[in-house]
Amino acid sequence: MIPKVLIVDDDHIWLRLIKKKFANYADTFTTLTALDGEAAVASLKANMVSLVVTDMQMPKMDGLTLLAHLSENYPDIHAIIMTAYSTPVSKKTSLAGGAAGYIEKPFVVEDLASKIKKTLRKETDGGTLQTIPLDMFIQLIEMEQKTCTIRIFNKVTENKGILFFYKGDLMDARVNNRQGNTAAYEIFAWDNVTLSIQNECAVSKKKIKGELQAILFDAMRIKDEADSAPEDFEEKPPEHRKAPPKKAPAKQVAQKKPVLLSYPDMLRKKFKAAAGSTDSLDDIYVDGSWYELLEHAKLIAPLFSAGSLKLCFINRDKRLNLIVMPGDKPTVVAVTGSCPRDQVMEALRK
Amino acid sequence: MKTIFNDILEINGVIGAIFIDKNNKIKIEGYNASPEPNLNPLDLAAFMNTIGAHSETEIHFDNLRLYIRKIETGHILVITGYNVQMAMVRLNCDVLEPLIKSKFGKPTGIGRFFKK
Repeated sequence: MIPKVLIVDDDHIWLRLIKKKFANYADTFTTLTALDGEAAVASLKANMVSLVVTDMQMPKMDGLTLLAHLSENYPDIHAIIMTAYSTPVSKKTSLAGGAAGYIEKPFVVEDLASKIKKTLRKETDGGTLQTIPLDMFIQLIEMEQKTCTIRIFNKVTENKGILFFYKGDLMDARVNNRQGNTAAYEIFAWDNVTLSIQNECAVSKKKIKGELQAILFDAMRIKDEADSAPEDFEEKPPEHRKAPPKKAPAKQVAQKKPVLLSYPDMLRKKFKAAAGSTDSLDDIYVDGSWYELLEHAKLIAPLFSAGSLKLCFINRDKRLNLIVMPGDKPTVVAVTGSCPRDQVMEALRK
Repeated sequence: MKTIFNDILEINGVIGAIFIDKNNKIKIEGYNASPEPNLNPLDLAAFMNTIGAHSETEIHFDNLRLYIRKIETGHILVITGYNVQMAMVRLNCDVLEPLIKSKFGKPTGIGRFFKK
């Protein structure tokens, strides 16, 4: 789970240079870049960023405005301010605005790297857990009334999410561009995760509606339904889903916008479970050109009393093979020649 | 004409094997199970045309799978269950290819000028 650091500066030559220099730290953090505050905001939406390093004076949106945006929308993301025109006032303003650090230009790249590493360490000051089930850990936090920020890395989809707890109360959740209950439902449905614990919670305003137990219960139900492989990509609206089995009493949640694992994510999950990793998985995409082959396969099935069509494997050349999954939109799982195809096909067929 | 498929049909779980030539005509077929499938030549021809030039195609159905290997003289189609060592099936197809070619392929070299 390598953290991402977003570096924002309007000097694109310097930006390119620092990105190149920071390639040496690729095992500690990866670098994203943006040329101004607006581009940084877009990058924050698209990526799970752990730290922002920003210049003060930039066109469109300056460093201080970006800092204000961070403390409003991403209070967990630390920021380091860098400036060539340092004054005691600007330093004070930056730190008061929520900056975790301050560095004056010109500086040695190693100095900035060590500041970044020091700040990133805070993300995991409470430790990292590799194998504990997420639902069990969340219930422990609630019981122990812990204040912490949990960063969750989904080892299957390689997605990242974040949960904020204040005295055992779930305050907010975030995954990609989603927040609140929607994000919590999605994160709680992950089951192969790494957890990093930070012993503080930067969120003071509660955005989660409903009891934690009820959200967990609903998330499990959604996961169970998702595991029974949908025929299509499109999410059916909640009213089309089956009523949940009455396993335990659960309070009604005011806001219900659950997010199912997408069909490609589910295929990826099955692939990883069968192959051990996704190294031999090249891509998953929809390709209507396979429709004809699948239809012909369905036509010949009765000749062999074969039953319904499950999947089709195509060996095009030694480097890339395709597993085509039937449906209104045929989905192609492109795999490399080193893929353990028999195990993978067995898993996908089921 | 079962002899050429003897080895492949002896693999545990293999239901049948068919050789289909380039004109999509069934030239050899052998089955372990009965009743043997009633293959409609038109359906089969249309299907083989869509398979095209892919060197291997494997189609999984609820009850069985079809393994189709393209060879120089046509296609070998093996019908199997799911408790089959597919590596053995592929290996047997590798072995079958030269045998089928010698039987159904066009003669090459000087031999093609002499009648057998």
